[in-house]
Amino acid sequence: MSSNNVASFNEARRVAIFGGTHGNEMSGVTLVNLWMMNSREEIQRKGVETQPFITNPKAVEKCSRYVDTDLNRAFTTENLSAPNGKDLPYEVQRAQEINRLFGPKGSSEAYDVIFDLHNTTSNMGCTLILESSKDHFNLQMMNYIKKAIAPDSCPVLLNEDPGLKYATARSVAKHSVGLEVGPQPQGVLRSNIFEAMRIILKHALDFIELFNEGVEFPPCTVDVFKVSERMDYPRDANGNIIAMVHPNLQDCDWEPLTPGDPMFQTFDGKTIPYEGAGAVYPTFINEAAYYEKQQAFVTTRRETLAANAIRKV
Amino acid sequence: MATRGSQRRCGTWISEDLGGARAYDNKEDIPIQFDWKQQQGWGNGRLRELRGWDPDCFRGHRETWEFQGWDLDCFRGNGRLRELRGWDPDCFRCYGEPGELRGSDCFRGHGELWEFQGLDPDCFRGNGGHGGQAEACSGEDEMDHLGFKPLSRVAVCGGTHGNEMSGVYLLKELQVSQPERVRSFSLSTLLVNPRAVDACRRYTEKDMNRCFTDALLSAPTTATTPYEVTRAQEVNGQLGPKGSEKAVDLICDLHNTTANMGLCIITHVSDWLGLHLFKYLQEKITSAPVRLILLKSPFSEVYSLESVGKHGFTLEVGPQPQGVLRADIYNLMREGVNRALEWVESFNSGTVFEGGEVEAYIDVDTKDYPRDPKTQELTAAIHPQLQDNDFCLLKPGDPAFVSLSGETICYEGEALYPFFVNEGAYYEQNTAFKLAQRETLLLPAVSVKKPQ
Repeated sequence: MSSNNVASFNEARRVAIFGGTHGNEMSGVTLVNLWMMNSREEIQRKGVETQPFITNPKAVEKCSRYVDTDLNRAFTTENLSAPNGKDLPYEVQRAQEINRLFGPKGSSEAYDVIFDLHNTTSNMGCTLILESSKDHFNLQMMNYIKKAIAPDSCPVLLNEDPGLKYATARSVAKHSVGLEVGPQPQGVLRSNIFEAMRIILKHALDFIELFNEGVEFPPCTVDVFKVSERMDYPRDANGNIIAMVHPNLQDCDWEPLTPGDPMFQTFDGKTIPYEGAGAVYPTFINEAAYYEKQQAFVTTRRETLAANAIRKV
Repeated sequence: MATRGSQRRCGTWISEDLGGARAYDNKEDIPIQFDWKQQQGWGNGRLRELRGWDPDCFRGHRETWEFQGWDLDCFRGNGRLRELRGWDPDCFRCYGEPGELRGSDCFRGHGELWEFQGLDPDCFRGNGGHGGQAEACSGEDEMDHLGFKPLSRVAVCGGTHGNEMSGVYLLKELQVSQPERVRSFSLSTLLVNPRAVDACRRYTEKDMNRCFTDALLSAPTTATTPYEVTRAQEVNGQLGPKGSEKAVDLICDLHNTTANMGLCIITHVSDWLGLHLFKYLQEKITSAPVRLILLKSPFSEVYSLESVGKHGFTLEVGPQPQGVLRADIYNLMREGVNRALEWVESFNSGTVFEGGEVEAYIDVDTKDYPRDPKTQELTAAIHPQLQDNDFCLLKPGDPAFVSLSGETICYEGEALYPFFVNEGAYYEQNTAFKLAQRETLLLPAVSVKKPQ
C-alpha cells in the first residue's frame, strides 16, 4: 500500500479463464473450448498471458455438474493439503492439480486473476461474484465493467461471510472473479447468454490492460448485494420438499422481497409468505443445483462499498 | 404369382409384380405414362396424388416404406388414407383405426393405419393398432360416430426421465389426493425410472423412453442388460403387456422440456379417443397454448412408454430447466392431468363428444446443430430469433443458428413449424430442433359403447 489512499498492486500478468468447473454449465465450456482450439486474439491483451482452462473435464464429458463432488466447493485447506492418491475423489485430485498449476493458493506465485465462468437456472442476468469487500483491485474492475455495459446492468454479489462462503476454484488466485450468467438450463447453450458472458469478459480484460499500462483508477463506490441468509424449501419430516418457489417470486432475482410477500406455494396451491424482519433482495432463486444443498434462494442486503484509487506498482 | 414387395424404411421401392403394379418412392419415380393394366392400377406414394383406382381393387399407399406387399386380387396398402374419395363397389378396402374396422365384406375407414397386422386371402384387412376388433357394419352413417369401450384403467406415469421434475412431484400429489375421489375408473400412478429420479439424471444407462419397442420388451436380460431395459420390461408387466387385452386402457406419461412449447399432447398413434381428449384440453385450458403433436413411426417400432396402453399420450410441458421445479409449469401440468381425468370420467358416463376439426403438428423432420467435422463439437447455437419461438412458422431464409463467431446461418428447407427448439436432452441425439407440418384433422363423434 502507498500513501494518499492509492492502493498499489503489481501488474496483473498472469490471468486464467476457467470454464467447465460445473460440467453442464455450457457458456463457459463453449467459450473456453473455443479459445483453446482457435486463435486467442479475443482474450489476449498486451503484457498479459491469458490462459483458458477447462477445470473439470470429466464432468464436461458427462455433461454433469460433477463426478464425485462439487469442484467449486473442493478448494479447502484440508483438501489441498491432503496426501495425494488415487483414493481421493476425482474433484479433490483436480483441485490439487489446479492449485499446483494456478496457485499455490495464498502464495506469491499464484495467478494474479482468475475468472470462473458459470451459468445458473436462476434469472440473475450477468452477475459478478466478489469474495472480499476489501479487494480494491476487484472492486475497481467491477466498477469499470458496470460503467462499460451501462445502461445494461450487472449486479455484484458479495459473499464473504465465513459461514456462507465456500472454497471456490478461483480462490486459488490473488484476485478471484466469479461470472454467473442466467437463466440457462443445464446442458443447454443459449446464444444470448453466451454473448453476454463474452462481453463482460472483454471489458474485464480491457480493464486489466489499462491497469497494466499504468492508468490510475480514481476512488469509487460499488453497490453490492451482500449474502445474508440461505433459505431452504419447506420440507416434511422425511426431508421431502413440500412446496415450490411461488410464481410471484420465481424469476424475481434482485427485486425486493418484503414480509408478507408470497414466497412458496404448496403442491395443492396454498401460499406460504415471507416472514422476515425487513425487506431483502433474493437471488439464486430456484437454482437447479441447489436442491441438494438445501437452498431455494439466498437473501441479500444492499451495501455500498468504497474502493480506493488503484494503480500499478 | 405376384412379387411380394419388401418393406423398406425409406428409399426406392425395388420390386414390382409381374402384372405391372409398381410402387414408387416419390413423385420423381413415376413414369411418364401410367400403365393401366386390365386389373391393376397403382398408387404413387402419397394418397392425395392418387389419380385413379382399379375397379376391382383399390390400391393406394402413402409412403412406400410402409407398403407391405400385394397380390393381384386384393389391395394391400398401409399408411394414411386420409382423403379417400370413394370405394370399390365390390369390396372397399381401406382402413383406419381399430375402432373403424367394420366387416368382412365391406368396410370403410379413413385416417391412418399405422400397423398392418394381417390379411385375409380374399380381402385385405388391416387392423390398425393392437386391441382393434372388427365390428359389423350397419350403415354409412356409422362413420360419423364411433363407439369405444369404457376406459376403466388409467395410469399416470412420471419420472420416465429422472430430471423432469413436474411429473415426479405431481405423482406424489395424485397419490395423496386420489383416495378422496370416487371415479368410474381406477387410477394408478407409477414412478417409471426411480434410479434416474434419485440421481436427478435423464437416465442411468439408456433412455427409458426408447425401451418400449416390441424387440426390447421381449429381449432376454442378462447381467449386462442396461437397467432401463430391465425396468421397461417390469413396467410392461405392470401396465401392459403392450398389445394385449390386459394392457391398461389409457397411459398419460408426464414430461418436461427446456423448449418453449407450452402444453403439448404427443402421441405416436393417432387415436380418436386421444384426439378428443386433446380437443377437450385445448378448449378448457386457457392459461397456456395447448397443442397436438403426432410422431410417425411404424407401430412395431414405437419405442415410448405410452404405447404400452391401449390408448396413450405424452403430456409435455415447458419451458423448464432439467432438475428445476417451477410452480407455473407444475400448475399447468396439474391442470392438464386434472382435465384429462375429467374427460375420461365424462366419456365413461356416456357423454357424446361431437366431431370437429383439430389442428395437429405432424413431425416430419429434424435439424442438427452445425458441428465441427472432426470433433463433432457445436460450432453454432440456436439463433435468438428462433430461440423460444417454437411453433412459429420457419421459412427458408429465416435465421436458424448463429455461429460462435457471430455469423447468422439461415434455414434452408420447406416452410415448417419448429418445435423442441433447444431441448437440452437432444444435443446427444443430434437434434437442434424438430420440424412439423400443420394439418387439420376431422374427428368423428365418439362416445362410450353401451354394453349389448
